[in-house]
Amino acid sequence: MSYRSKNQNQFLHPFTFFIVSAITEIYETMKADMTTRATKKLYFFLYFLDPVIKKVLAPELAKMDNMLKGMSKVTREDFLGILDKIMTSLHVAGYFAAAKWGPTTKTTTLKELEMKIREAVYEKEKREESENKDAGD
Amino acid sequence: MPGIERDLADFLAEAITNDYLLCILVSSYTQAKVKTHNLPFGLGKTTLSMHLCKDINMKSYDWVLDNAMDYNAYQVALKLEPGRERMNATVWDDVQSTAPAVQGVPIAIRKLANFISVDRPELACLIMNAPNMNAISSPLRKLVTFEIIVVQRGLYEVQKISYHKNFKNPLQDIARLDYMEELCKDNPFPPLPKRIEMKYRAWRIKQKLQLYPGLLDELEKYVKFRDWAPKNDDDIAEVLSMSAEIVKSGRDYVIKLPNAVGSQLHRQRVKLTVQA
Repeated sequence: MSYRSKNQNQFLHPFTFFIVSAITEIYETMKADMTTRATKKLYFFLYFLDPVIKKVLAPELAKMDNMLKGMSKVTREDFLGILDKIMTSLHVAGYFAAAKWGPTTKTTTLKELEMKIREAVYEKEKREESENKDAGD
Repeated sequence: MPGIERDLADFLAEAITNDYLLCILVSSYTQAKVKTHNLPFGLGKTTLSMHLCKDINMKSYDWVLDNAMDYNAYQVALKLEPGRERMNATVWDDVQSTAPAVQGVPIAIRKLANFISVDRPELACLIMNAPNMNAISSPLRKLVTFEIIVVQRGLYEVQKISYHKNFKNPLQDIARLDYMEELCKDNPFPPLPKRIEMKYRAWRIKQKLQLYPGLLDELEKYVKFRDWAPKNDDDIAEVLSMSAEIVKSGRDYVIKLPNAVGSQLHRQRVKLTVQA
């Protein structure tokens, strides 16, 4: 996240910022072919997620626990399988909704603009007319 | 997303029917969401402004040209005369030529910007045309709430300028752009009718001719001051014989002349024969 200035960062929700930073770090570690270290980071990261997601990922958490205790071998395939499941859960839970759906393209025409203004002015005139009528009665 | 629920038309309608004032800048030399031609001139800023002004005022192009086109700050100020009948929109064309972004902003422009912000009843929408935000005077820049970027001829996008608190530096707000909408590509805004375009061009020439003598005058002074002006003997004032003191002013030495002589010779070329 170093490419973002401090001013930009302050508008990110702290938790979103944390998630994005953690994922970036795991990604960077994986890119450097340090699978064990990446698994360790992923394991700790899981504890900070929503209880709902943690419940879904309980088998993976146990698997990673075994990996880190040395009871089972840490492989790139296992790691990627777990990461895939975590990312799917995060996407389903809507953690990246803001990034995916905004800003959308919204099109308009000058005719629509003109019609809206005319409508608003007409409504105002009608309202004023009825108010004047009421005041007169 | 602040721009999704309400569009420019909603804001304009509200400004007209309620006591709001919107300042809109129509620019073309900045790229935001849509990839633009990024050209400062000739993309149709004035055409769009006139379309908008016509639609907002619900009048004809002729009416817009005769009543709602301004070329300088004075003409805009006339529209703000207190007690005047409320006008829906007016266009300030080529703001960069009459209120440019310069270091020492003239007090008159500052006062106008202050007056615009307090004088809402007379005007609902001020549309300013300039190549981009940096080209106009800073007090006017702060009034702008919407920037309409003309992407290419016939197309534009609307960005709303919003201010956010800078928690680390509370005295300086952070300005941001919120994308609002863009014109449908299948439905671009048309060029002005030929007759109106000719009329606009004539009006613009007339306005520019008012600025031209002042510009020439300034440039003449500038060239003379820089010693680039052609030199001939006619420029040299009549010969005087007098004694005067030489004093140091900054890094230079200057000849101290009496007021009467100095005011006559100020910025003129003189030939000196010095005798200690």
